[in-house]
Amino acid sequence: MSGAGENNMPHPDEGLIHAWLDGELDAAEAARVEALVQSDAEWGAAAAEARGLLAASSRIVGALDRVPANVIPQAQPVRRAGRQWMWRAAAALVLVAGSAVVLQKESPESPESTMLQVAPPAAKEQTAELAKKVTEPSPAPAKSKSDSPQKELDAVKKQNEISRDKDVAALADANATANAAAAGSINRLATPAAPPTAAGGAAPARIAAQRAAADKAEAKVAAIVSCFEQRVPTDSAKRIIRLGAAALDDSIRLERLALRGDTLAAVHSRLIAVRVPCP
Amino acid sequence: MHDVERLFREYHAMLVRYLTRRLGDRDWAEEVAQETFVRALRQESIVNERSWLFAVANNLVRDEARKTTRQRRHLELMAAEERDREQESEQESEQGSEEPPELTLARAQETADARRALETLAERDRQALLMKEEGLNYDEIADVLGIEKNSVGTTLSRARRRLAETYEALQDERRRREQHAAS
Repeated sequence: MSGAGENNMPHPDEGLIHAWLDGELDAAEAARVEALVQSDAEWGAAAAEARGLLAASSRIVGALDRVPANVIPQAQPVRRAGRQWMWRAAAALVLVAGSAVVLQKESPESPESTMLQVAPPAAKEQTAELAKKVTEPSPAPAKSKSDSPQKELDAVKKQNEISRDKDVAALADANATANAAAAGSINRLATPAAPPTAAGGAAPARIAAQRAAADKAEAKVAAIVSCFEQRVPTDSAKRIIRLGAAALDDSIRLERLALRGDTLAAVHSRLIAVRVPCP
Repeated sequence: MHDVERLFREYHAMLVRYLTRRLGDRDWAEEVAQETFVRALRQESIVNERSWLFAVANNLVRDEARKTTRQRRHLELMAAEERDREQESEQESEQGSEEPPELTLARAQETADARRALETLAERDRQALLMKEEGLNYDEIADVLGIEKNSVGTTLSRARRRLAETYEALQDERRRREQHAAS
């Protein structure tokens, strides 16, 4: 290190003092600097200031660490999309399969191999589509794991109440339609030899049976939806993040920050916090 | 071939922290750190592991910064504690988190000021400062930055002074604004 070897140092060498405080000088140089700091007021003041700068800079750098993990949302948008797709597909399968199970229970005489094929294709597609909508809570990502199903269920209900209720009702209708159609098909499969006139005579009973099947299917679908909701993590998947005013404008535009949550707080008409899904 | 598992164990957390501080983006930092260790896998031998890892990470950041197509913004985020079940109510949601909003906001502002102050530093000064905070010695910092060891003390003193003074100025400015708004 240069500077410490000179006998007369009109001005303290700030870099040398920092190196000394950092313990980067060899023993001889460190001893010289130490002597200067103790004997020369200017050097002493410079050393005191350097100590303050070291402490301050460490504290300031430490403040940068207040960006905990799991608060920057959508770390991997591609993977998230994949996971959501899987959730949706799984949900649709569960719902369709659930309906089929109901049908199986309602019509034990029907051939098992036809369970998933008896519903008209259009009705099944409608069911799957609505299932996708229902299991796709718009502001809540269905991705992270949580061990608090009831908590998650509550959160889901809050966030998706309106749209979900509407969709669930539509889904129930669609399932009822599909199940009724399926039940009709099953009945036809079970009684292939029945003449048209006989079918006309048994219509009220069949309609009643179909309605009963539809009601049970609806109840089953509702139960499945509820069960699925419990798998949808929202409480742990939603966090409140606070935004520095300076970063706010940028953050709103930030593609990785899904500002789909609720506005939580504002100061002087400026948004300072939002709810966002966690990665 | 060196022991990458050991390298990862010893340096990953340090590298991610360094990169997070430097970039202000934890995800980006994780990505860069991961790529750094991938490159370490391909490396036949590494003489000074810590210097090598930080140098590679710095190069990756520099290369990434050149890719203008990837738009990144430095966010200052402050996470509140996870709400408990009762705080799911809308009233609780409006209030924010368990922590008093004023305190949370103050901390977020400190973080924002720290970030802004850090960004006023020259790139080399910023790297030197952050690497020193991670415990790299002057030899290692000089190695990563390609400068003389004798220059590291001067670089650090300049960086520390600039950081502290800028941060203090930002805090003063914020206090003045708040006083003005309150009056």
